[in-house]
Amino acid sequence: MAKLKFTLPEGAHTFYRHINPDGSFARHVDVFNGDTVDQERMSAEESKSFTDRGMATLIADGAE
Amino acid sequence: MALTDQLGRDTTKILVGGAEVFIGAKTSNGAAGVLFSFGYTQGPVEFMPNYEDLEVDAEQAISVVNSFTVGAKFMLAFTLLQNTLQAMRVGMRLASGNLTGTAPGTLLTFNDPTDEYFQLKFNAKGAGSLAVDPYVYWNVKLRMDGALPFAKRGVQALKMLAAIYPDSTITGVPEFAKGLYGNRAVT
Repeated sequence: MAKLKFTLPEGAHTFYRHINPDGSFARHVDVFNGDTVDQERMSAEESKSFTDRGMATLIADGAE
Repeated sequence: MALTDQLGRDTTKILVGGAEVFIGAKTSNGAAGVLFSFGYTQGPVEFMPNYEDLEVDAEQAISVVNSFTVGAKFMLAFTLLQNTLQAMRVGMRLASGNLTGTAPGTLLTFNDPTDEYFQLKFNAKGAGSLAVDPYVYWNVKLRMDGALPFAKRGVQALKMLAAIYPDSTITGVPEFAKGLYGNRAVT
């Protein structure tokens, strides 16, 4: 399972919509520099947006 | 959705407390930006929606017979206690190139203003499990509002006024998921 590792400036944060395994979701979940999020806990559109903008990189599970 | 969250008297729904304001570069299509905190603020963060109605009067009736919403303007006001160079740059609508150097040799040059848009977010008290309701706005233009005081017994409090505009890059279904102007979520 791939993860997104966030690289953000010192003191900055961003947020995403967290999709739970049962399909429910939580909006505006904050992430900070160095945080990792399972890719499948995020929509493909949002995941691509973060990586395209250089805010996060895809890493393999366990590669933290 | 029906008026389902109007469930009568509930003290847990009474929300009190200050909000923290964050700013980031404008993004497209309601993507979450890289947000930085403005830090300490003074007084309330005030969200001010204003509407203009065209009220139709008729000779055959005493009161207005119809009303049409013909204008809307959403504003946000807050006062920064941390008069940083970056905050002043944003408040004076100076292009980013006007702030140069690294501390202690930082320089903010005063030049003609430019039109720069930002993403703005503030975290207010909420009634959800995390007790935070984030408000986010996609397309915001800021300016200093009023005088910046330099006083023996006063803080250099930077009054800011933000005009919130719809984001034309929001399309399709996300219009409802993200809001043209922004949204308030319960967390």
